[in-house]
Amino acid sequence: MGLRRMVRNLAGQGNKAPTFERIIDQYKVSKAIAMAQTPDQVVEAMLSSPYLRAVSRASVLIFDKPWSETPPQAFVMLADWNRDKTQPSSTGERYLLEEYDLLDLCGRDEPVIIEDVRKDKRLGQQLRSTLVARQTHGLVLHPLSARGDWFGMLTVHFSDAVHPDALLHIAGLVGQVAVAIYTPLLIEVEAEAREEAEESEELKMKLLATISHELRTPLTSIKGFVTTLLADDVEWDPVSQRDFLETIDQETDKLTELVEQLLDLSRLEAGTLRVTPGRHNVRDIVATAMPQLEVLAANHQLHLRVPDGLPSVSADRRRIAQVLTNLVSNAAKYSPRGTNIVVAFARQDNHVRVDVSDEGPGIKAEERSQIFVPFRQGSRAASSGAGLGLAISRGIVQAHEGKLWIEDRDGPGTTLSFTLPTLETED
Amino acid sequence: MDRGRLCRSHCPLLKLKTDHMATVLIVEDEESIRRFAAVNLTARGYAVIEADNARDGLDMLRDRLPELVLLDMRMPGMDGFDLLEAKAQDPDIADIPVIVLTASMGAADAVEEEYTGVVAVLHKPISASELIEAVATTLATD
Repeated sequence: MGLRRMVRNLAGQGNKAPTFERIIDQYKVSKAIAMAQTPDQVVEAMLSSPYLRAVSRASVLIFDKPWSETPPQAFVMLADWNRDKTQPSSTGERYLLEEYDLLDLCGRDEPVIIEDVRKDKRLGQQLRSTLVARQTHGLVLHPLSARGDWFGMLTVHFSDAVHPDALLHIAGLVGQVAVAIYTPLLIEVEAEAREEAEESEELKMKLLATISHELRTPLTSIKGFVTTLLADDVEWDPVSQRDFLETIDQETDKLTELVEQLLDLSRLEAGTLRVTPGRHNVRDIVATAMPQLEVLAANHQLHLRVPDGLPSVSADRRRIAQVLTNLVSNAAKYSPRGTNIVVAFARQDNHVRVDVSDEGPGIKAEERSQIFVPFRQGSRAASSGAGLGLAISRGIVQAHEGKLWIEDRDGPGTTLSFTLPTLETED
Repeated sequence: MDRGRLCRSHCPLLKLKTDHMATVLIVEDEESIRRFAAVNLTARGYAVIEADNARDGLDMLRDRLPELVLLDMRMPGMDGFDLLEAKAQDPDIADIPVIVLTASMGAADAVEEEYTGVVAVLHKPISASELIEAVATTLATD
């Protein structure tokens, strides 16, 4: 049913031509809407018209996404204007669509006009009593569309019978109200998206700067000592020469490890870090890691506790050895020489749990969550390592459907733990 | 730390300063880079003092009044910028020349204009000869 016909039926007379006064008024109101800066001001400008004196309340509802094939889930009351200022405003409130049966009434092209809320069969009982309690007699629901998006509704409550002049007036202004409301919303959304993109670009640049710095550090030692050996104004004694060459060798290993870690990290972030789990006895995994563990804990007392009768686990042996190596390496790095590092295995439900504990100072509560963030080291950070190991280790364990976490307690001592799923049958 | 034997005939730079052994303070958290600078400077006749963090570096700067500082910018905790800031506030050490070592692109580019006393910025990686030349040039013109 077209608006024109509805108005005609409502008025019970023939087509009503707009009067000169109404055109003037509409022009004035249009201007006020164009000047409005907030949704509340837009609504208020519209209602400043003398033709809309009987309006007791008007609200702008914005859907959480434009209504196309599928209806939106929720809407927010963007503006809620009450002529009686003692009435509570619902501005900013969020409602689920299904709990607001009013919206079942509306379509995207035509307004819904309810002449008398007490008599209209389309209204549910609860909504009817709410409306009556707020002195609403007539109600008009107008879809709000702009730029092809049906993005919300304008609801106009009348304390008296709905006058056709008022309807025509609203119909004449609603398009402008829609644009006045929607344009700033779009600008806001675009600004947010741009800000997000800029932030992620900034993060990327920071990450690149960090990577470049981390790569340059071992490179500096390598270049430094190679050119030291090449210098022709100094003759280095054999002990010094050997010392320089050993440093070059170690720094080359560091560089290689860093490149591997960076590759792992990028695989992790791309979701392509593959593990190929097989059936493994825990002792086999320990044996794989052992040569490196011994080197890493050379200045510490390393204790391995592997109880008998542990079930086999589903694990990529090389990758889990990498996790063990990383946890022991951290433990050694951050605890005094000569102290104990304990690697304890235990069965826990359908997992095998591994705890790696050191006797260092521990990690402050506020820094604990940060240790898994790439390139982030706590205040205790030693100068070695880029801070990638724990992020990668956690990724590896998660790829096994296990968990890796830090025990949530204050130092002294730090315990990092992880779990690996066991395989059903025992060996 | 006198690991190297100097071939004086090949070292024209050293001839410039035989009368007095300049002291160079190295502030660098990476052990191997600190050692690289130290062995090279020691071998060319400079006295070297070292700090592996900026706080100790600032203390040594005040206590020992070296002729030159080699300063790494990026260090955990107090960093090279903080040290330069503190140095500028202290008239006793404000004029001691500083050669900045940096592995970061960009961050330290303006450091020469921003802080008095910064005479050169060396971008890592650097060679032994670049390091020696920068040190010798600074101390020769000082």
